Amino acid sequence: MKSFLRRFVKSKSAVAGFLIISINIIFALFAPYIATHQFDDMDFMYILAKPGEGGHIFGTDDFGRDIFTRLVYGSRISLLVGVISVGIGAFIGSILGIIAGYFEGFLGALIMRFNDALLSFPYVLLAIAMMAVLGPGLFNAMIAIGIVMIPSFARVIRSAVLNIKEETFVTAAKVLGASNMRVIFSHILPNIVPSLIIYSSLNFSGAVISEATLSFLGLGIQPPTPSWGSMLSEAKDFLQVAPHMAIFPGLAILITCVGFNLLGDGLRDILDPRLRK
Amino acid sequence: MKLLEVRNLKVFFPIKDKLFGKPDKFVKAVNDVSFHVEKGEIFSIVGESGSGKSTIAFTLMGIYRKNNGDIVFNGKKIENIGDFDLLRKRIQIVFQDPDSSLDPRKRVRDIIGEGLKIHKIGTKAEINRKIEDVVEKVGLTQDILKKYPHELSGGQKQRVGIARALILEPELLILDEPTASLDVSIQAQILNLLVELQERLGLTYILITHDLNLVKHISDRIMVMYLGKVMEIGSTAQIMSGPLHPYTKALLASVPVPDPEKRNEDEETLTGEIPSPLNPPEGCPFRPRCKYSMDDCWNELEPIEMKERIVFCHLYKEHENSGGV
Repeated sequence: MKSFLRRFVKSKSAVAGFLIISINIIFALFAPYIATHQFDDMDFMYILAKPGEGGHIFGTDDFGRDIFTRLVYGSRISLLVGVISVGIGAFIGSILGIIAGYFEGFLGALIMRFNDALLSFPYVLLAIAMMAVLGPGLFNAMIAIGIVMIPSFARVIRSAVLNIKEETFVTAAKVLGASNMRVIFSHILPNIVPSLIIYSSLNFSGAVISEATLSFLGLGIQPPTPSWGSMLSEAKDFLQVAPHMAIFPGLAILITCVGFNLLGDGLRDILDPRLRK
Repeated sequence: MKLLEVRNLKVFFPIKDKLFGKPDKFVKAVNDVSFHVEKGEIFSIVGESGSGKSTIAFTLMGIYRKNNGDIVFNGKKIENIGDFDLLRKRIQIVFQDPDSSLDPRKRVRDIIGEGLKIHKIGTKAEINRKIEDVVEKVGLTQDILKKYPHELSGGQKQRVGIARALILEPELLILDEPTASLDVSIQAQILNLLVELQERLGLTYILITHDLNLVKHISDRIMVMYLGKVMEIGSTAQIMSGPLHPYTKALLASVPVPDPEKRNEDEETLTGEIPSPLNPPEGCPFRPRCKYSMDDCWNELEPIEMKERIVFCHLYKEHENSGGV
């Protein structure tokens, strides 16, 4: 554990990612203290104000609401959606991927064909269908986005497992008498963690955008509660007159994704004994 | 005393080219192979790639399922997976490629100790003592235990592989091309170690290799395989000095002689390719490449026993039971 911390501190990308995400989490936790306004306060004197006008650092939107404030509050929703839906997708997707990859045969084929069926739907449509069943709301949106992510996770993890299980060290473990459970948890899982981390951090941004899509359709977070995705989609009508409405939430999503990717990259390197000095 | 006896072993792999239904084609990787291994000897299985020698090893380890035949270990017939599980501690294997046979994410201590953990042998202190013991036996120092495989040299990795197999104190060790992927200078070290261990621990080896020089130096008896079939079984001296089967002759002739003066011009070097195991030749599998082939060779082979050696070749039919060559 000590050496893990030491290596973590040494890895520039892990530290940078960790800092970005920490700032995000602080914003989310202490939103009321950091925000300069109320997120649903409408300042009718400054509708579509440019950044800096009338004490609005990042300007205001078409209702005169402070964009900085809404970004700070929005980080609560966006972080939650990103982490929870990626968590659902990665967890269930990995289980299915490991089963399909390790056991192949009939069970594996069944899982993968079902997977293909899910993948053949446009994912927004699938999410909408899921929301129709679950009903609108933030929590259901996270579940729907998570479920939509399962097939792609399952596919990526399966191919990683197919690779690893042909390695001689897996045969060696079996020859020593290791059970399937032992082989999976002790040899396969540690070796697919890199793929899992990278794919999860890539999917984080996808989850934030998906939430925006669902919110835009009125299925996710309900107005006036802000989320980065919904701010972005509201901004699309005002791109010409008030580009800052789109730029700031877009930047927020970008920076957070970069943060997760950096952290993921760093973690992968730290966890790989081959890269240790 | 016979430690291991294999009778009429058949291992076929189905070729699936249909979505549904049963496969109708098989690769006959091991086709009707019988041999035995005496306790304390080094028994070599020699053949080209695709001859089925590794398949035999993996079948003995219970990784592949046999389609037919008997495996008898220490007088006990080994039938199903449960029997193989009981054998884990008594038969172990050293793999060819030390690079991929060690989990890159585990320390050497955990790699070597895994067998003990799986079989729940001993307390933590006992496990540690056994690990330290076996590390010494294979000629490594204790500081290697906290290293990861990528920090080791090829020779060290192979020693770790040997230690992992030895820690369960097996009676029979299968060596699947143990030196094939090592540098020449390291090959000799590993070989010496294996011979030394065999003498010290009273082990029995099945050595699987295509390297005839290696076989010549350390093995007691040799089995030559071709396309899933046995060609010839005999003592090392017998086979090295007087090979009977045309395939064995060709194999021996293919070994480079370091002296250019002694180079033999009319050697029986092999021409052609090894046939596809999917569609093996009728009768003797070596028939299409054999320069002595005759009409008889289209018939199934019968083992011909002569003075404790067995040869599968129609050329020697008339010598059967006569005891001479």
